[in-house]
Amino acid sequence: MSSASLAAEPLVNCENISIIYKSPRMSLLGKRSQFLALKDVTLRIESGESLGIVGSSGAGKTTFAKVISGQVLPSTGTFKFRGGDPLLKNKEMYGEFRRSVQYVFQNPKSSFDPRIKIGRALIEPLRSFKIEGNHNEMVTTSLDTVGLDRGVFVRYPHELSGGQLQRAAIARALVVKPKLLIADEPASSLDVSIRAQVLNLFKELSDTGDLTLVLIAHDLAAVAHTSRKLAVFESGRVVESGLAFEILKNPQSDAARRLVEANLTIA
Amino acid sequence: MTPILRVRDLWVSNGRLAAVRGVNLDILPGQRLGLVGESGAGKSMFGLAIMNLLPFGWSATGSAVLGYTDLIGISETDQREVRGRRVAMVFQDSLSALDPMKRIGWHFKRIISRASSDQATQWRGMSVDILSDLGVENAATALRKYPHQLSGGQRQRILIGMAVATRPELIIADEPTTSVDTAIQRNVLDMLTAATNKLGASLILVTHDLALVSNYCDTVAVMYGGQIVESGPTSDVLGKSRHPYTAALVNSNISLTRVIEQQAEALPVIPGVMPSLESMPTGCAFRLRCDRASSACEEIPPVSISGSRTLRCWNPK
Repeated sequence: MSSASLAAEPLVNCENISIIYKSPRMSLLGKRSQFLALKDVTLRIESGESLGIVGSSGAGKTTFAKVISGQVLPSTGTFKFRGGDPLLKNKEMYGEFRRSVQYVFQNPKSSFDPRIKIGRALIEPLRSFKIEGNHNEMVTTSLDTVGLDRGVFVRYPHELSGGQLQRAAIARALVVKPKLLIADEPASSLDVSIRAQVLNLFKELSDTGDLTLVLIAHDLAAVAHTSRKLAVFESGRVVESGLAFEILKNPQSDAARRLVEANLTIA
Repeated sequence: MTPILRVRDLWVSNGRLAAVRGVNLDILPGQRLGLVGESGAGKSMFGLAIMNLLPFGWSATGSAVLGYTDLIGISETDQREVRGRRVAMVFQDSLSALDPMKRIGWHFKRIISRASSDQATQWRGMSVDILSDLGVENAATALRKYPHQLSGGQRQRILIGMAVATRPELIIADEPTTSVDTAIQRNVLDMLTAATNKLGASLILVTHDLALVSNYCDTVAVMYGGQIVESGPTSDVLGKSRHPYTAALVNSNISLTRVIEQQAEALPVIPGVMPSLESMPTGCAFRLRCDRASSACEEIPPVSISGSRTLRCWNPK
């Protein structure tokens, strides 16, 4: 593929993606009932963009994230990453895709092995992707990016606070220099005072422009702070998408309106 | 008005560390109090101490008088008269608060028949009424379901129903909406406040979300490091905060209007973290994170009372 066509291609291109889960048979000859987790989702994510995904629970937000991170194969529709299908069994391309897409989970306490020091946990992805170079140096640069003290290198996860640990999780995702960072409710298990630290960090990362960011949250304010674009999910469909501030000021769909109304402020 | 719950110098400790350090609090009949603070502030331990449900090894001293009964150091037999009947609790995690092996109806039946044997036969009708009031559709069918068959918002409503079933005087709700969606959160809280209003009961809403307190509570008590640092009417405390910690909490609250107004700016952050019980500083617990700290703060600040507001700070705003 020529470089010109690569530049025009969005980073992630989803066309008419549906995900069907089948429930187990209730009797020997019984039918298996189906559940549509995603219905006809078409979404493009341009390189360097920050996209917020909102919706109530069960709307398909996490399922969508699983599709674009290659954890779930779409039942129908096509998923393209930088113009190619990464899920074909092309070993080299698949490896590159796994490195390019990194995930930050909701609860940092359970996404770190409690018996492994932070430093080793951050070197782990460099080893498994067989990235060459000075690993210690790469990890310290990554820790600097998220604003963590180098001292955490020799600390165990329980010695860090929730906010520090979530930043370490972000550093672990950044250490392999991904193209796309997916964060699934990264701030909702954190305390109010610490939540702001993590959201500020995501905003800084998205402002630098090299990283594409997908932030999933049910807290609209958090998403609006970090993302320029927004996609509103409802029962497996994208019901509204566009610039975040336009949607928040003037929500068109019922789902978006409900989310805006549910947001409480200090009177 | 005489308070229905009068807490005086309440301490909760395990002999070595103290999670609640000298809390004084009055709750008037029908009042809705928001107990706010970060995790580790001791707000859950406060609620558990009132319910006599402290974890193994922890004990409470001081007094918490409900009507004429002191709930601290009460015998287990006397406690049965109080827990669930005069004081009820709504827990945070609805899935672990219900027995996964039992149907919803079983939970109601136990609570209602233990509270009064006269009503034992009418438990089904009573629980259907309560659940319909709370907006549970097909309440009779819901009673035949198991906890895992219901959604999080429905389960939370069931817990609220179980709490109000015995017509208690005081309901303690410990983060009742953190495990449900923002859209459902509001609905659950509307139901909770409507149910307490109907009973004329008082409510202690334990939460870290100031926006919730501002919308649903008439008084607020801000906890930090096991002490109440500021309390008073909600609009006064949140609108004109005097304690630097309250001010910082209000300031770090992320609201939609604010995000839209100041698009590019970084959100304000409270530096540092809540000290753990082992590393609690001497004097004011907040002084290491406070921008107004002075040498006076090395002593524990006394409580100053002005009107309905209390404050524990040497250098208030």
